[in-house]
Amino acid sequence: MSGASLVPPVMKGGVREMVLDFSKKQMGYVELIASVLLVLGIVFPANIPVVIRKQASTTVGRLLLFGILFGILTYSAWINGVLFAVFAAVLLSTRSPAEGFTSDYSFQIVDDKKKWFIEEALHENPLGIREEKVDTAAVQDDGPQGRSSVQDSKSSR
Amino acid sequence: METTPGLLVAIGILLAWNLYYGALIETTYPQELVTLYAYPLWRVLIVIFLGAALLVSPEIGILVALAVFFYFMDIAHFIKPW
Repeated sequence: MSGASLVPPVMKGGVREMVLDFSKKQMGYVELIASVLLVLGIVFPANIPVVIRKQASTTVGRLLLFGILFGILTYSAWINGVLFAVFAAVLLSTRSPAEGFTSDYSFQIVDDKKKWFIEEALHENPLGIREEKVDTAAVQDDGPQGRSSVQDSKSSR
Repeated sequence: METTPGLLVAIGILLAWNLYYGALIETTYPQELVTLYAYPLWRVLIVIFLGAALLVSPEIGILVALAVFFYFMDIAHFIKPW
């Protein structure tokens, strides 16, 4: 038999070709969207659900993050890889209070737009406030003559 | 991008700056940096600056990324420590 007929037939076209062609054409958009999501993840790490942050901090999660980083470095631009590394570091560093050292200490940064009137009047520029909310209760009258209807069940005699 | 003397000086300064502040146990951030962290646009600008630094030079970009990471992590813990 002659050697011309030994070349195996190669199928052209089909769904595989269409998917590959589509993915090549759309890769730019996918990278752009992924970059925007990475920037948002770096800027708002505290808004990522605690469950995801907890899972990312486990061994499997860290291996997954490493795998994603490896994939980005293999198939995408290395700049996206560095951005993802920063995102992963920020994600792992903002853990939930339930893990490790816990504290009731909280701190809220005050921006210039949210000033109380008294702060504007006295030209005060607080950087932060320790407590954002204060629990208050109605005035209780425990005197024998001045009992009123605002008394709660704890002060009734 | 080829490594020019200016770029080498910039890398050296950034490296020394990262090492110096990384070696300090307690150091205060400037008031402006703490106040500006509350604005998301400021953080977006920082990430854009990081992207620009990565485009200028990989070495400078990585050193800036390190500084940006410590800034984001420190202030975030300052607001809500874990």
